[in-house]
Amino acid sequence: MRQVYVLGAGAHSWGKFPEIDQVSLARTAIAEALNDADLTWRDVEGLVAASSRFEGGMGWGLHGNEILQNTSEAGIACINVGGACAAGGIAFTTAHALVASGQYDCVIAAGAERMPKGFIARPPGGMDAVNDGDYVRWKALGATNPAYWAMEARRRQHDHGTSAETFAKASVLMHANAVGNKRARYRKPCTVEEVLASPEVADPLHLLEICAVSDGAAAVVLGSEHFARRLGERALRVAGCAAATGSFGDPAVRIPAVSANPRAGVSHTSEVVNSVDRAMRMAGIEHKDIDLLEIADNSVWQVLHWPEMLGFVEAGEADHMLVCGEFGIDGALPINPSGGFLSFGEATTAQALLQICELAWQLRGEAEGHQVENAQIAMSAVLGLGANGASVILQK
Amino acid sequence: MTDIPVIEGLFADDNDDIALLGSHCTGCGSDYFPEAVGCSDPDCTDGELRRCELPTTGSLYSYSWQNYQPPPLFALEQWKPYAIGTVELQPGLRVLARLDIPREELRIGLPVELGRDVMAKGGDGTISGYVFRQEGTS
Repeated sequence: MRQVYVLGAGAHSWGKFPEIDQVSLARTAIAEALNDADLTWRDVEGLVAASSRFEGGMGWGLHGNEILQNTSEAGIACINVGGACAAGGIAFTTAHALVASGQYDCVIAAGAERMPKGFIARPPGGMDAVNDGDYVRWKALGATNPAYWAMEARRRQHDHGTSAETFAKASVLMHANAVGNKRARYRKPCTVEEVLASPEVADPLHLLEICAVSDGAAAVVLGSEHFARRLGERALRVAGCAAATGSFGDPAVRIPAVSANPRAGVSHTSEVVNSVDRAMRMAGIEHKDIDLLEIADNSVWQVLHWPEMLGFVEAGEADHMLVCGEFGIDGALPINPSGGFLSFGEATTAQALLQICELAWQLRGEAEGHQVENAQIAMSAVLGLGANGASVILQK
Repeated sequence: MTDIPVIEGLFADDNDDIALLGSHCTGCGSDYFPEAVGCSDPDCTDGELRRCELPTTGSLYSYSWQNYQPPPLFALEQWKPYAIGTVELQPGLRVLARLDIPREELRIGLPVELGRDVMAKGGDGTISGYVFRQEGTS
């Protein structure tokens, strides 16, 4: 396998842009990434698009072919990959494999999303049958995504004694990190009191403790040694990356399922744990080597639970780490220096690519206003509906 | 007047008895809810799935109180904030359910039992759903 590099990163801003279509969002992100890599479309040999397709063939839909038809019809390979909110990470992993195999020297991974307002509802196109968990959860239970996170948060309070104030502090940290990040959608700092005074969405989670939905687009240019040499120090090594699915026996009731079959010894959110384990093995590194983490903080519960489930801290220790400031930008293990999903809002399939852009900006020292000092190795981890996980490790 | 389950095949509803319908794997013994197409245990290669009725009692593993109305596909006609929870029916099987339990009574470990409720009334009948209630209250 050849060494692969991140050559360029680019993103459209995150927010609500009803007047901008999905392809235009993607074009903006890709143009910035190509410019960043000092390349043009004529150098690109493949495009992998994070497509908005969910299990069952449902979804809204970014289609990479539409980007090419509106930008550069040069006969290059175009691959559309699914994976729900992990699709961006899976697109990156696919693009990596295309370069690592020697088949191509320059491939773009891109994601772009325009989200409906409010709760993410059931996408069109399903069969509405009893064996479709997504249909059952909406039709019979009205189980929104925040309800799933809320039940995890409630259980954490039972198992580890996490207080409402500690959950609120996770939101305060994410919003504080975003204050200096000009790319974030929500850049206003907040206090524990403000978080707890925001409307209760799904007890114990309040409005400021769950992520909004956003429109956005992000793109990464991957290339071989040939291109990396031209770029010099700005090229970043892809130390590891992996896509993974869940393990049988995972105790999580996964969105959109309505049951779980827990078995002893199986990790919670195993699709993400499996992807991180595999990416770390590929990189040949240990937890202590990682200087910052970008994780999918759909709610404050993930900010506390994920560092534990990924093996960075012992179960139940994250509360203490958070309260002591160890998850902050200047802490021992910075979590989401960007401000995370809580400060950007989630543009589902594009989100994992934005995470990877953030890793690149951090490692190059370009994370203006939210820079982790002297970051050498950075990791992303993302979860997608339907038991999809993906993780990327970049190295300076 | 007829009584129609919110989703055909989600539960068996004979007179006053109700049971969630699932799949039992003859190979590894796993029980699934709702009915599954195939067994997901990677070590189980020769099992067959058979429709089964799942246990009707369990304990509350976790819960939440939903204050916002879900998107319109939700069949509950007279919506108001309500409880939703995860119920452990047996070791190795937890199911998601609406809870017909007062907010102040909700606690992890609460013994619960399955029941039915009317989710909506139409011109030609009612739509029924499944809920869990505190054991001994129905």
